[in-house]
This record gives sequence, C-alpha cells and structure tokens, in this order.
Amino acid sequence: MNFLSAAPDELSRRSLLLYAAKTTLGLNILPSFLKGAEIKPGIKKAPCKRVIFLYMRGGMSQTDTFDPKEKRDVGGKSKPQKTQSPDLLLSDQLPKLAQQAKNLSVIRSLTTKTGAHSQARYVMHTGYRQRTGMTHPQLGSWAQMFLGKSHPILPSSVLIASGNPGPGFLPPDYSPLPIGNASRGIKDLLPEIDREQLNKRVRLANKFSSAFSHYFPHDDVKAYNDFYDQTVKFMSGDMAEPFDIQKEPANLRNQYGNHPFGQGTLLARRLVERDVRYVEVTSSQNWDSMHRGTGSLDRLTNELDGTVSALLTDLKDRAMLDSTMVIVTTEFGRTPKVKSNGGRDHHPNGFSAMLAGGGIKGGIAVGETDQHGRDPFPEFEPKDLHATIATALGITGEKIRRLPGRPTFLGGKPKPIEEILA
Amino acid sequence: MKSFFFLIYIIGLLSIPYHLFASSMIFNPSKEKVEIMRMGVQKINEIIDKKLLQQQKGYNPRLNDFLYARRIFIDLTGTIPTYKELVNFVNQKNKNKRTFLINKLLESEGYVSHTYNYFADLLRIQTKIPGQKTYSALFSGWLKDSIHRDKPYNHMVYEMITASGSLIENPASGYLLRDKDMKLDHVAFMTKIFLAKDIACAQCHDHPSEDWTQKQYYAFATFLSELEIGNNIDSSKNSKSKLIAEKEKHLHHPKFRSAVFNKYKKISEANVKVKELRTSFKKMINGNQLSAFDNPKSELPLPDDYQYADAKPGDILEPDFIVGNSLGGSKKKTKREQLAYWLAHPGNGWFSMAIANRMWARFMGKGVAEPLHNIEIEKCSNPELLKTLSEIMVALDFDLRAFSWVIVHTKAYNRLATRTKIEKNEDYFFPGPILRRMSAEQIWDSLVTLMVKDPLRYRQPASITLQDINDGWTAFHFMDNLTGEKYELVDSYNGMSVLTENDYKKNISTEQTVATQKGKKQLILARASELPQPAPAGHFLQKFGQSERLFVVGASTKVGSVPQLMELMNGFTTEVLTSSDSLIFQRLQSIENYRKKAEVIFLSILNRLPTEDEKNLLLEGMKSLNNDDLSDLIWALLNTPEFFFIK
Repeated sequence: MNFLSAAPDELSRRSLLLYAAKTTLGLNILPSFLKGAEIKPGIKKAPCKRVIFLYMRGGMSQTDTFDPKEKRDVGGKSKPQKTQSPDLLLSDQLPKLAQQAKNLSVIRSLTTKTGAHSQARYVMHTGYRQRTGMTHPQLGSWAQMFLGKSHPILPSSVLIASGNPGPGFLPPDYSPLPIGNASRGIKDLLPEIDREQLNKRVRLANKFSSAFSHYFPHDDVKAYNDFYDQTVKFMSGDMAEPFDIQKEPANLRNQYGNHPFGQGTLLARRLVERDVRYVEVTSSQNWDSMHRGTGSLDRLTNELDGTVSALLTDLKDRAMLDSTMVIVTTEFGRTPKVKSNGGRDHHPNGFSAMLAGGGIKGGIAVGETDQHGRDPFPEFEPKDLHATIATALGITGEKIRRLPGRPTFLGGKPKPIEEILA
Repeated sequence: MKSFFFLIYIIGLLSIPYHLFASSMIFNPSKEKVEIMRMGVQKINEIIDKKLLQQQKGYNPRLNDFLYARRIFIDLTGTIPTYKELVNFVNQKNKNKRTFLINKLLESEGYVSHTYNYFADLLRIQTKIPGQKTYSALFSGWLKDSIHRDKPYNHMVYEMITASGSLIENPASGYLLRDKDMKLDHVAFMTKIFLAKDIACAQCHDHPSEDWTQKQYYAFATFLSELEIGNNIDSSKNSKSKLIAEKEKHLHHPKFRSAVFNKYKKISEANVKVKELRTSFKKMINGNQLSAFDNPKSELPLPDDYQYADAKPGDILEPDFIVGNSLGGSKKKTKREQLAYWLAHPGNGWFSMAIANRMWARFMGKGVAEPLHNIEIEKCSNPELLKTLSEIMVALDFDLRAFSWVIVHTKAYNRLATRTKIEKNEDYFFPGPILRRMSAEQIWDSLVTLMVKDPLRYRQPASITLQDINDGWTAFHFMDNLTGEKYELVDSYNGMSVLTENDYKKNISTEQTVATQKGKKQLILARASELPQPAPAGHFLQKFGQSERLFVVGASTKVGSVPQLMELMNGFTTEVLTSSDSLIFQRLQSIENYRKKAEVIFLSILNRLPTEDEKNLLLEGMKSLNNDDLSDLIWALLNTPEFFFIK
C-alpha cells in the first residue's frame, strides 16, 4: 500500500483507512431511514451506466490542457491546436486526445471558492464546502443511494490510489473500496491463510451456527450468515479475479502506460466492465509541481494524454463508450499568467473538466474563460458538474434529492450543465 | 410527579428482601428508593401484561441461568462473563441469586466503562478535540467519574450545559468545547439528545412537517447567544483566570519542592525538575486556553437570508423554549443557566421521557417510541408505558443505576429475544427484548475479557484537574499526572504507566496490555472505554461500527461487513485466542479430559454447554481433540453469529 502513504495529506489517508475498515464489501442492508428513498421516482432509463472519474491531483493547468490560449504570456509553452472536431481546440500538449476529439467535450468555466488543496479537493468530491464535524458522501456513494447496488457482490464504487470523503454520513454499506496499488489489486486485503485449515474451520463453524440460525429466522442473522459466506469467498481468493489486471493482455497494459495512473485506469475499465458503477483513479503525477516551472509539463500532460486516449479507445473497441462516462478534472486550475520561473500558481477562479462517453455530447466546448484565461462564463461549480453526471446516470427530480433530516443531494441546489448532455 | 406511586394500589410486591442491598460492595440505594423501584417494576409489568393480553399474545419463553448470566453481564458490564463468573452464578442455589448478581454488577467497574461507552457515543466524545493540540481524556474522565459516583443524570446535564472554563479548570466544559464554531448545529444536537426532538431542519427554514419555525429555532438558540468558545483573554485584566493564579501559587510552596524531592531523591535532579515543572505548568496553561465562557454582549441575530414575515434579518430575539413552558427559575441567572435549569428540571417531561426511552431501548433493543432522537407521542404504540417510564425516571431522581435495576427486573426483560426481525416503525409490545447484535464495544470488550485477566486493571489515568490542587503535594501530583499530548494507559493497581503513545517499545512491561503481530503491528488490549476516543482508523472497533463521533448523535452501527468478519476469521484477536499460550488454553491445562476441555471452551465463548448434537459433532469430527482441534473449536465458536448476538 506504499502508494497510499504517498497520498497528498495525512488526513485523507486516515479517512481512507477509516472507510477501508468500514466498507461492507457486499450485501446491501439498508437501514430503515433510507428505505423510503429506495423508491426511485424520477429515475429514467439512463444512457450512462457507469462512471470513470480521473482525478488530476494538485491542480491541473487548464491552459496547458483543455483551455489553450493564443496569447503568448498566457499560453506559455503550449499552443492551441486543431483537433478532429472543428468546434474544439485543445492544447498541443495533448496530441492523442486531439485525435479523439469527436468523442469528448470540455467544460471551460468551472469555478471553486477555495484555493487550498484539501478544501478544494473536498468540494470537487462532494459538491459541498467542508465544515467542522461533518462529512458529505462522495459521488459514487450518492449514486448507490439512489440507484441501488450495481453488482450483488462487488462494491458499487472503487477508489484507486485515491482519497475522497467516502460514504460521508451515509451508512457503511455505501463505502467505496479503496485500492492502493492497482497492480496488486485486492491482494493486500487478502490474508495469507492455510486454505485447508480455513475450510475445516468454516465447516465446523457452519455446523455450530445452525441451531442458532434455525431458532432465530431473523433477517440480521441471515445477513450475517451471508456475510460469512462472502468473506470465505474473499479469503479463498475467488474475489481477486475482477481486480487482477495481470489477466489483461500485455500490449493493452502498455498502451495504458506503465505507471500507477495507467495501470489504475486499466483496472477501472476492468471493474466497470464487471458492473462496478463508479471508479475513481488519481493521477500518479502531481500537478502541484507546476509551481516550480513548466519544465515538468511534458511529464504531466504525457501521462494524461496517453492514458486517457488509451481508455477511450479501449472503451470504444469494447462498445462500452456509449454507456460509460469518463471525466477528467481536478481541484482547481493554474494561473494563466506564467510566473518568472515558468511556473503557475493556484487558480480556483476558472478551470476545466473533460467529459466523454455515456450521456455526453462529443466535440464541443461549454463555457469559456476570457482571453486572459481569468474569469469564467457562465460560472459552473463542482456541484453542477456532479448534477450533470447524476442526470446522465438517470438521477433526476427534486424529490429524490432529499433525505429526511439530511442535507440535499449534491451541494444544495445544483444545475445540470444541459449543453453538454446528449 | 411521585404521586402516582402513592395512588396505585400496592399489591404483590416483588419478593426481594431489602437485606440483599445491604452491603457496600453492591448497589445500595435507600429503602425509600427500593420501594419505588419495586413499584416501578410492578407497574411496567402490568402495562405490558395488559397490552399483550389485548393483542392476544404472550411473553417469550423464559431464560435459563446460562442465557440469563450472559445477557445480564453484557447489558450491565459490557462484556460476556468469564468462565468462573458464569459457573459461580449457575451453581448458586439462592433463589434471589439474579437480583444479587444485578446488585453486584451495578457497582462494578464494568458498569462504569459500559455506561460511559453509551454516553460517549451520544455526546460524540473525541479525545482529540478538534482545533486543540493536546490529547485530552479529561472530559471522558469527568463522565466516568460522574457515572461512578452516581451523579443524577439531570445534574450531569446541568453541569455540562453551564460549564465555564477550560478543560483543566472544569472538565465538564468538554461537552460544549466539542462543538466550537458550531453553535447553531449544537442546538440541534442538544434537542435530539436531551429532548428527543429533531428540529435540525428549522435551522435553515421553517420545518415542513413539524410545528417549528426558523424563528423558534433561533429563539431557542438565543439561550446560547452569550456562550463563547475560544481563548478567554480579557486584555484589560490579567489574562490568567483567578483559579489558575491561585493554583499556581502551590507550585512555589515548600511542600511542592519536598514532593519533587521525594520522587527524585537526588538533589541536583530534583532542583532541575522543580524548575521544569513550573515552566511546564505555564506551558500547559497556555496550551489549554480553549474555554467556554459567557459574554453578555454577544448576540445571535437572525440570519441575513431570513425569509419570513414574522421577523427581519438581523433581529435579536428573546430566548424562548422550544417545547413546553418555563418552569420558573431566576431571570437573573445567565441565559445558559436559565436553559439548563429548565432543560434538566424534573418537571420537564420531554427531558425525562427522552432518557427513560433511551434507557429502555438500551436493554430491550427498541425504544417504546422510535426514533429515539425524535419522539412523536401520537405515533407511539404504548403511550402509557412511555409515560410510566418517564415518571419512574423522575421518581428515582434520575438515578440511572436504579432505573437500570427496574428495567432488568421486568418480566419483559427476563424473556428470550423475539425470534424474527421487528422493523423500526413496526408496533412492538415487548413480549421480550428484540434480538440484538452486541455493540462494537461489547464485542471488543468480550474478546478482551477472553484474552486478558482483569482488563479494567488497565485504564486511562484518573483525570486530575486544577480543582483538585489544594496544596504543594496535590500540585505535584497534578503535574506528574499530565501526559501532555499523548495517550497513556496506567496499571490501576500500582499507578505505574504501562503504555504511552508512540512509545510502545519502551513500555512493554506486561504482555497483557500490548502484544505484537508479526513483529510490527501493535494492539492495546484494554477495554474500549480506555482506548483513544474514537478508536484509531482501521481499528477493530471501527470495523464493528463504533461511531466516528462526528456529526450524528448515536451514530454507531450494527451492520455486518466482509472486513469485519475477516477480522474475526483472520485478525489479530483471533490469532491471540487460538494460539496455545492464550488465556483460554492456560485455563484448560489443568483439565485432563478433552471433552471436558471442549465444554469449558463452550462455556467461555458462548456461555452455554454444547447440545447433544454438538457433542456428537465434537466426537466424530475431532477424534483426538488435540491442541489443534481445540484451536479450531475456539475459532469456530468465535465465528458463529451466536457469539455476537444477545439471545
């Protein structure tokens, strides 16, 4: 789990451990206060079935990626380049994505209210500003809340080398399963055991528990018995297969890129293919290095360009692109003006996201920043991005966004960005 | 309020002689109180009898001694009984042995630990107070001490709400300090916990389905308008509080010096230490500035976006009670004191009902009214029972031990759990408790009981506050006891520190408190109440649903999960329990017969004897019953749901 310990700050690592401990990895036992909400008014047949959320940690520079500018003092090293789509220019740092521009669209007028990494990361993951003593759910947990579990056994959301606020105030069954190192899958979760001894013990335990289970034909007891069966499956390694990217062909693994982000994104595809609904992968490169100059820019954009284009191609080849939304975004942008050392500072005021696949129009740009790259118009907040994703997943309507005694779904009153929805 | 007890026709009092209480080692209330307790049991039984009769239903089957002992230990002390405790009880012939056991357990250390866990969940206790650098178990210590001393519940609440000062001056302030910068949120917590009223929505808008308006919310919150939480430094005066200045003098008294010399012997060393301690006193005072205090100038205006016609944004409201009426009390007192006076007053029916219903739910698995934090009497299936419990609570002067005594003596409690699941909103007439999973703390503490001899020997140090300093000696004791920012565990037999955070290696003086897993990982084998609050991320307790103590009152859960069971199947505790040098195996050494050994294992873990079927199973499946087989048996019994359900 060494990658986890390299996560941006201690707090998110701790919260990761916390819900790694609490994730149920299995059955959905709804507490009664949520049962009413399981009725699904307003859920339409949705074009989008699953979401891969690619998170550029440290603050991705919009100017060097999805919002290129002609002006030299703004553009820095990168220049706008024409793409496959006439309505969409991308930075020339992203040549491979330019080849697929018909399949992707860009939102250029995102804005967030805080320029501090951890707070902005929180807003991007929950739609809410962080406040003392409360944690809001991440997107995948909300989706599970409204749409139910996406698979009877596999978790409905998975985080790869990522930290986010987990299920927040929702119960533990809404926890995403955190995975540290994509190449190891869930091997680190599985103990080393003597299978023969385990089997013997499990047989014995089953016999001793039968009288109790028989006398109490109780849902909670039954649920525990089911959890035992599942745990045994996990322990005997049967569950490791969906998480094992060694099963993917070597050339495909290379296309995704031989770095944690590439391998993590490949694992994400493998998991959504097996009906995990929401997978988040964090970049292995840290965009905060841009403070020190654009010398690191190629490293950052090559990882992004290579892995995301490989993912889009792979999804298309498998006929999964129409039902899988891919999002690339970050906590905030970078100042358009290049510093004297060639670096860029935090810029929460205006930044970009790339969306592609399920439920999303291709080849367009929505919103803009002014020619200096500063002020966004029209302003969209992270919660609006969430509402857009939710709408594509079929979660609509005011009613279901309210839980008794709970905060409103997705950061208050979000508005889906209709222009980008197919 | 006591009147109904005098009105009811007293017949058929329970045949419990008063002498059963007459010992200092056991629960020993006044004779008058015992009368009230007996009548309370009687009255509850009548109400439930009547209700079950109406429904044409009967009580669940009775409990045998084994099941009874298991349940009463879990409910009163938070852990399963030890083999010895179980066998002693079962073998007793006395016909009042159950009451005798209850009286003993109510006075045990386990009762304090277990009751503390309940309130720690409700009050969202965190020993690292957000925004404070220091590690502080002072509020926990205050709560444990209050429980231990039988402080009436309403007095506890009064002290918490009116507490002023920093933690070291007045540890009860930990309740308010917990919610620094969240005053308005805190109001909603307060009504949920103490009044069983959920008014949270009205913080931002008129409550859609209930009676409360946003204006009422603010009027109630105005009782806390003068409360400030922060560094109480008045620039015009000396920044130190009177109390601190007065106590600091003792560090310059000759007695203080001699106390230091007494410990450090060498004169040179002691001289250095005297100076060090004086400096660290100053540092400690500076590091613990966070205080609760009243500022009469402080106001709570209506918010800028206030949208209703009955007032304007920025208006300052008169304080007003959210339910019921004023119960008198002096208007000259601070607003907080007025609030606490009303809230904890025996005449405040919502207050007594909230705690009575919570206590009932603790033992029965379900409140008479649900949810516990928002009672709607009109939806309650047995309002008479609810009212009676509330009256008993008042009649017993909010003595939680006595109230627990009443519940565990009712017929309903003394029956087997109901076999099928009762949904939260389903009417239930209490033919017995519902089937409950143990809380995270109960499961952990039960495992600790199996692993460690006398686990409550190891505790967080008793909290000593500035109030306890009254001369040079106590001043030294106070300073000597400070652990600064670290978690610490002491051996309560000799007062020695056995464990300090980040300092495991140096202090592995007893294998009972610390054990190592694969050389590296360490686990503190102490009761949940003595661990950091809440337990660290990834801890066993977290997996089993201990509350994170964040934003939700009573947020602990009892939902199963795969990581939870992986912990039981393959975790550290199971590794300890199945290894041949474990406490269970030590106990088995003196027993020759392997079948007898298996029986002891059954009694230790499930607290019952094996059935005939199970005996046959043992005979055929495990022919030799060697140590490996015994390990397998221990493993199997820990991994049956029966282990963590309360039948």
